Amino acid sequence: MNQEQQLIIETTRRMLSDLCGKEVVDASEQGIWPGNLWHNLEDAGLTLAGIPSELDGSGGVKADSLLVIREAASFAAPVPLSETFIAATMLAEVGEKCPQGPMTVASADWQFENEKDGTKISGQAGNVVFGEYCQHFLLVGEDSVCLLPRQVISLESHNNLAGESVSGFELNQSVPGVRSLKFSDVRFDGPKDFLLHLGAVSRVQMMSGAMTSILGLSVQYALERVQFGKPIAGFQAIQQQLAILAGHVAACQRAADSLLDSPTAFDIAVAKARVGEAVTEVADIAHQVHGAIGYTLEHALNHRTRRLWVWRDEYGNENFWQKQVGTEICTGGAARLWSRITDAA
Amino acid sequence: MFQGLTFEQIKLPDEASSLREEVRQFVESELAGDYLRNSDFNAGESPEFSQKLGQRGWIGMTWPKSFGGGERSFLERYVVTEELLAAGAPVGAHWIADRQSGPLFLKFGSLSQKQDYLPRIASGECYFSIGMSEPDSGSDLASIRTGANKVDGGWLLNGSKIWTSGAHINHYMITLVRTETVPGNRHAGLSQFIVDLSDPNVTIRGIKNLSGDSDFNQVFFDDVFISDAMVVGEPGNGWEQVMSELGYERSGPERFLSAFRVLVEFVREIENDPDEAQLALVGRLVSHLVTLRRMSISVAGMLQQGKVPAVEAALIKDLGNSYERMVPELIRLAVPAGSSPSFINTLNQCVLHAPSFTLRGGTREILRGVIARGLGLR
Repeated sequence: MNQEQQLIIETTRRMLSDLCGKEVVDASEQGIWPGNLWHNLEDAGLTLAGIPSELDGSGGVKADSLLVIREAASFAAPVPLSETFIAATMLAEVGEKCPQGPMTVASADWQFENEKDGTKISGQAGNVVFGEYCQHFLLVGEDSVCLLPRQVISLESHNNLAGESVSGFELNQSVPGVRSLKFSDVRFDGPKDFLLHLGAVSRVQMMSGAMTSILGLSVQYALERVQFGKPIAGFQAIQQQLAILAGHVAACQRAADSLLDSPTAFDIAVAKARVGEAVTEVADIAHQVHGAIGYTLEHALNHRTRRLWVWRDEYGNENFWQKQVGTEICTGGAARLWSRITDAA
Repeated sequence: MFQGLTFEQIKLPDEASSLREEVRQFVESELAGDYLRNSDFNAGESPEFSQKLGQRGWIGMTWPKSFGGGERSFLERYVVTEELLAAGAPVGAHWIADRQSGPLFLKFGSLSQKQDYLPRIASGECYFSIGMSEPDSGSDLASIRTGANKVDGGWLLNGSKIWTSGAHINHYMITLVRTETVPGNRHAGLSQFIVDLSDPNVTIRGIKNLSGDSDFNQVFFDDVFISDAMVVGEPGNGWEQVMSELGYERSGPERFLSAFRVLVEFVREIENDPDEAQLALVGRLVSHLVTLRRMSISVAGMLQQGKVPAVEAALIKDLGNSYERMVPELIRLAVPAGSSPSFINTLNQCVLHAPSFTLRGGTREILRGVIARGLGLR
């Protein structure tokens, strides 16, 4: 991590400490959009970090953005930073400029027919994260993408497991003034595959950030909570559990770091499989250490663990990615197993 | 807010890939035939193989050339050690001497100790055991009672060490001994002696482990004379010296590769027609392995920078050992019908030896205590 990235992380952390307290996350579950938080992040250039400046991004490298996303997740920030990053990255792939404001992504079997002054679009999407608060939607189809303004879309929304707003919508109409764009990145099998991998990269960062925060909360709670006349941190049973937790969190941080700099599809699969699997035990130990208070809405732990339970399933759960890794390994065969592992630097 | 224990991203140097290729070719030509490969570092020893490694400069790689070393980096050493383990080569004879005894001499040994032992270790001809546990002292190492009385020109050693791997084939044992009782400070008054295992006053009795192998021993000392020249470092400084070895002892690839051959042979059994569950299992095990390896390389990088990453090493050992224990337990549930006898043998050997993975080099409970201290809990 270079000095500039250290600065980006510190700026993000400071802003979130000020503007993303527990009450902000709680309010977001009641449908109150933390506009102030978003605007501050946007004004600081953090929402489009790593997107080339000639495409109206903030410049820098992709890792900058991933570090912001990881940091924001450690505060359970209820804003579509990762969706905006994904949409902007896909737009950059097709050479398009980024609009201002929050964006989200809608992947489906979209049919795009380019017309004289617009595009006829049909299809339906679900699980569109933070759609209610986004000004632009990137529709991702079989071989093309298309950026739509919010106004042409009518959303059906609900809260997911984490209390974050997700939406579904249907389109079967001509939309004037927009074009679908062919996606030709040869590294991936079409825009949906690209989205799957980008999405997995973002969820790995987010899970890693949330887990780091969970470890911090758990250690702090163990040091403060007194039972049998002493802080529960003094009991070996608790120490051993927190040591296991720290092991998983360190492994997940390392896995997340491995995706900062031009990861391969194999790296992404390994990381999403490893980090997704860790959620079970990380959440289990954190809740056990916190006792009943951790099981309430009063304590901030729930903002992190509920998000982990959502993120581990988004963009392929660990079973899906394990099979991707297993398929690559078995295709190479036993003779090449070890060299496949050492190639993953 | 607390950020946990971090493992910096370290890339292996460019020279590593040609070195890796060299090791691979060497191992393939040496291990041809019906040799049953086992990636447990403790599973096989071959002085002949160790000497060949020594001739190639693959023991004592990081040590000064003046002491027979290669002045190469910890990361290059890492490449050699992981290649040998992954291939299932018989590395047991020189392993401890290369990993632990040599670095101990370099840090605390006298000039004559360095001159005497390091070149012989590096040539693959001189092997060391570690003498720490005793019948009444395991995890509570500071409670050891094997002691020595000062005599003219040295010490008289009495007592016994147990679970001493390789004592029956190795030349020396670096033995932790109580040389003084310091009231109120259990960690003071300990010293490290070099014990010549061929001394007639040393008795070595093999202990069979549950698989029937006898790689570890009980070693008895009956008025063994240890000259002052055979004390490593300062008398009384033993605890600090032992603790400084832990970064080397606990962070390497031997802490997560012990069961690797089981995975390789399992993939060989299923590769032509894997079912979904087998694919997911292979992917799960590989995702852990790749991540552990990256963390372990981070620690090799810290060693290269002269750091003492004791907590990080404990964390890798704990995570890595849990992984090694998990590999045979999960694979046995996915074994295809009609598997080859050699795969079943590899799996069964691993099942039999797996209990040792989370004991040797510090039990998981001790390691977790070290991690908890690193977290500020104790």
